[in-house]
Amino acid sequence: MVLEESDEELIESCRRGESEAFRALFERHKDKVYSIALRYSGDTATAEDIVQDTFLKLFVGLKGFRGEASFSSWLYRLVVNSCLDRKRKSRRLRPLLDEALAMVRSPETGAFDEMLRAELSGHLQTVVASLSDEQRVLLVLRYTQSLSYDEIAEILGTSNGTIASRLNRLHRTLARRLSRFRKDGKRG
Amino acid sequence: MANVADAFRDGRDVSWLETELARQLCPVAAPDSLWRRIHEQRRPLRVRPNPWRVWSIAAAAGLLLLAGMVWRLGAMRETSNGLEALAERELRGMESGTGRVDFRSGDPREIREWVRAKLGVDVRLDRAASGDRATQLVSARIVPFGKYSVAVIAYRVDGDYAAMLVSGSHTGVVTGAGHAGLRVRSDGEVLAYSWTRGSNDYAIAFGAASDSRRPCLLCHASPPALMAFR
Repeated sequence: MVLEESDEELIESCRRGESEAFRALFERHKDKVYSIALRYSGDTATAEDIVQDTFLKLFVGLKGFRGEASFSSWLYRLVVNSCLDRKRKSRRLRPLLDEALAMVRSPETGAFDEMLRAELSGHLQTVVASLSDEQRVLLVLRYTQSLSYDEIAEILGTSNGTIASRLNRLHRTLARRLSRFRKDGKRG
Repeated sequence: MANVADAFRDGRDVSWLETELARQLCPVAAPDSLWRRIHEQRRPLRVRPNPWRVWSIAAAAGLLLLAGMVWRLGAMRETSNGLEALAERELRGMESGTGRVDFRSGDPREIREWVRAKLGVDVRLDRAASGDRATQLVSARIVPFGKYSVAVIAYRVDGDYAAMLVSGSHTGVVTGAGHAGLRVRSDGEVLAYSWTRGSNDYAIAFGAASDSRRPCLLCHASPPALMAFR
């Protein structure tokens, strides 16, 4: 029954002390929170710590949640803060799934490009792991959750233009570093 | 189609990069064990009380407390007034010889026992019991006082009549060993004191011409400093 309720209705039920409502909120948003945590930290144990931290903060904060921002934005903010609060134990992104390691196959691409993409793909996780915490948060919100610039701006408390500018700069940084790998690879 | 290596080298084309980022950073399902972990850490959410409700309850409780104090003070005042007036009437009855006597005795222990038996009130007549010749007990009787009964103890101080009235506390107030709520009034002929001590209400009436502290010798070896007014 509670699974059919809106987030706002579930929050009200949580405030009344109904534990099923909190469980329903958790079930509804756990994958989203865990995905961000895992893609940010690259480590399942750390990701679980972040999820736990986030939902405990959520639970405590429900009393004070006034609905000025949307529940999703608030939840994203909580998980982002939990991510940034946590000391990075590892800069390495989680080893990619086998299928994710596979290249983007396209009939139009040539054999050389396909080989190059495979190589770049393998290096991408290393490059992303070397980014700053804030840059990785930005990437995770954009590519794990497919959030718009407006949504990211609201979560991070900045403007749409700033997000666009940061992402543009980030793309160039990633491209440049991947290019360096490519050059190093050629030299090796 | 632009060569991928060239595209990345000069940062012109990021579409492949975006595709790859989306692929590598794709969402994943949370493990089922997470709920148990969170649930074990969670404490029941305290339901936030409505601040207006809390304040209104506090205000109502405050008003009730205030009303109770006012009522109690009023009741004490009324009781004191009534006891003082009754003591004055009893004194005039003793002086005129028209007062009724229920129990005649000059023995402090007998008076104490009789009052205790009739009224359930223990009145200590320490000074009279010590054999002091200045105060002499005469008699005791029980008179109605509203819904209650009062013991009237007649005694003489240096030959002059005095009346001490004692009853259980009418207001329910229980005080310490001192003379709480001590009041004094005089109509020029009779001086009357009233007070509460322990769980009893007291009043004394005596002729205004006598030393205002002398009637206190029924219970006190020396008159309390409190009585040294007038």
